[in-house]
Amino acid sequence: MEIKNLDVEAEGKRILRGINLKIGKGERHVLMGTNASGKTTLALTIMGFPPYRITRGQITFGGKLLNNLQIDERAKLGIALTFQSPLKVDLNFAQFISEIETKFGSSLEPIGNYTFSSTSKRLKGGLLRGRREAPLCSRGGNSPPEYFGGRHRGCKPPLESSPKGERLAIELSSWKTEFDEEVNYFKDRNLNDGLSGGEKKRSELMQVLAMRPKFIILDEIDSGVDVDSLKLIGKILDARGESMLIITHYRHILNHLRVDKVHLLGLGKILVSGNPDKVLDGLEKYGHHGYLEKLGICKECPLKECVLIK
Amino acid sequence: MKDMEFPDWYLKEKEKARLKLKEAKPAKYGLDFSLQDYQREGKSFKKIANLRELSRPVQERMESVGLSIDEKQRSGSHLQEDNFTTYLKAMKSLLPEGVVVMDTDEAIKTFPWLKDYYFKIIPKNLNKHTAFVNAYSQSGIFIWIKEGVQVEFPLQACFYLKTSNYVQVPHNFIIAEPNSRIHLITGCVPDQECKDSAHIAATEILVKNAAAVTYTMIHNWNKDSNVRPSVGIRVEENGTYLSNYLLTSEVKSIQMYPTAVLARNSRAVFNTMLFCKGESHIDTGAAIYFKGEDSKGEIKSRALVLDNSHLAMRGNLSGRKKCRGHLECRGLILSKNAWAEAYPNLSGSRDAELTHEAAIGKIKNEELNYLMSRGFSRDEAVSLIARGFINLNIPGLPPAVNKYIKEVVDLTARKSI
Repeated sequence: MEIKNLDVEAEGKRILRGINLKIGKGERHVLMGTNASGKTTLALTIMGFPPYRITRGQITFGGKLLNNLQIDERAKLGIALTFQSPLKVDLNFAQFISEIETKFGSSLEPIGNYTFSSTSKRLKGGLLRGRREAPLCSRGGNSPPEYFGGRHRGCKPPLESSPKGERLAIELSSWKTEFDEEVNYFKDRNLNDGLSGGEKKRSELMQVLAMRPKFIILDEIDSGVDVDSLKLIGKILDARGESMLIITHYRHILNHLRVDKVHLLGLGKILVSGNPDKVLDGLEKYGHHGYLEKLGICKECPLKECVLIK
Repeated sequence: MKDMEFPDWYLKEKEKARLKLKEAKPAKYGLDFSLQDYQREGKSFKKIANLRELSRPVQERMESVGLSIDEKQRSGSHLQEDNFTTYLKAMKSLLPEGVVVMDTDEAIKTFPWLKDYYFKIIPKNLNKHTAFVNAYSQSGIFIWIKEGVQVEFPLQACFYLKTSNYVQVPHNFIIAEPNSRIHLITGCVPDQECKDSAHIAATEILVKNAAAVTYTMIHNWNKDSNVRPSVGIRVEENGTYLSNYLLTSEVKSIQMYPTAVLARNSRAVFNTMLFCKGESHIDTGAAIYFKGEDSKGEIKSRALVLDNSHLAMRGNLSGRKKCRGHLECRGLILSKNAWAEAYPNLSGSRDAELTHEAAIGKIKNEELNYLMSRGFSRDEAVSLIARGFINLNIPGLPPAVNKYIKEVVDLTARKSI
């Protein structure tokens, strides 16, 4: 995914200015920023949603120019978005998942050596809860699970030595079982109808995973989600191989999910891009404005109306 | 055996009703049309011993309204062709003793006490249609479930119109004694060759203490059919009444306004799914009167409004005592020439908790975009939303009907774009 010099406006108002962003295959980038800084606008623009209009620049995915493609055409290329506030639609969730699977020719397959623990079944919710305990692969170990994109995404320090000594539970052998269990959890519900904030996020993630995308934009997938679910969402995402753009306000989910880069968006511009730990620590320590000021960005900023100063 | 005669009270009632018919007032709702334009006398039909004796096209028409020709998982079947009951069968293995299923005319001849139920739930002079049934009814289905009898598999009844320019006038009864339970599926369908027909019916349903009646009506008319089914329901203490109504076809006009009166702690639910197609003029709804404390009721109507059709959806909840009711009328308009109206009405005292929601409009672009972001084209998204919208997940609908609905929705959704 490559975004070059992107300017976007909606209803005559310029929202994004000169965005440049390149997310390589399998990379995970985080987009942070204050409210109304343009994060969701960027997500919806990538997906092709009105009323956002590209006035300059271009978005390409896999070398293909997206600017003039319809929403569904972008989805079919492998771009998927979990919405921050998904709409209620009079459509049964299980039926919709089945339609998505039919469209994308996929039913989720068991993933390699991984299976969700039956312990998760004791917890309401299935897929997005529970723990993993089987060792993730290390190079030279088990072959990477196909469903994760065939790459050694899990190649990182052994789980035993991961923070807090958490053991990733589980043999993931029955991803499909868990997926079905999760679908089952929502089976009598309509899309986003009467769901809690956290349930909506789970529903969104299920839909997007069923699409077998190549690039996932997660717009505040962590908001309104309880601590256990948050951890599992993080771990599920961490075990996957798709490229991702993770929009968030908090670093909590990033405790469970290795990311490559963090970008800080302000007033429609990417103001900072850098090493995740460095940027996140800076933000945590100084806050948005303080951090930008410390970096000297505020002083140089030509935008006199900057909300960050307030 | 010598044919039994109608009782005197019935003959007198009919005679009186015919004399007074001219005084009958038009129905409050729906298009008015002349009942005198239809012939009532037609040829009679010979009885059949098995539904398989019917021609394949007739069988297919019956299947289109959810009727099972092989009668699988049905505790009994009734077929009325024009105004003659030509088939009546109880599946002895599935229909427990204590359930009486008869042609209504035969029931009136057999049970003198039926006089006490005759037009006691529906006012006979409510409008010219009920007056017409009182004057000229022929046949219909009579179901009497005795106390404590629970029928697991549904009964099915078909009202089949064969003769053109003809009016079918059944009078139906369901009398569920205390603690009994039954499900009746009725399918109303004219022959494909049948032109300018009418179906004017009255169905009186009495759900006694702690009994449960489910009444599923599926209609597949021709574009020149005029249809006026009057349904009245009285639910006694702790009783439950569930109504499902599905209209799948174009119709010249249809008007129905089933009305339930609820006693203490009883419950009524009306689910309605309408496909308003072609030049159809449809006026449907339901009313619930909460007469007893702690009674509960729900009216839920969904309609896909297409082509040049005209739809009025009505709902009325009225309670003076502590009760709870909800009314939902929603129409999705899929064509620029289609028209929909909703008339929700609530009335109650302080203890009544009555709510409603009514919505009419087209599919929101936001919903389409949401589904498109999952890889569906605009047309596919419309089809999915229309299908999801109309599907009320009514329990007990036969799979063949569900499949039929799915196909119809897909077709109409595509057509509307």
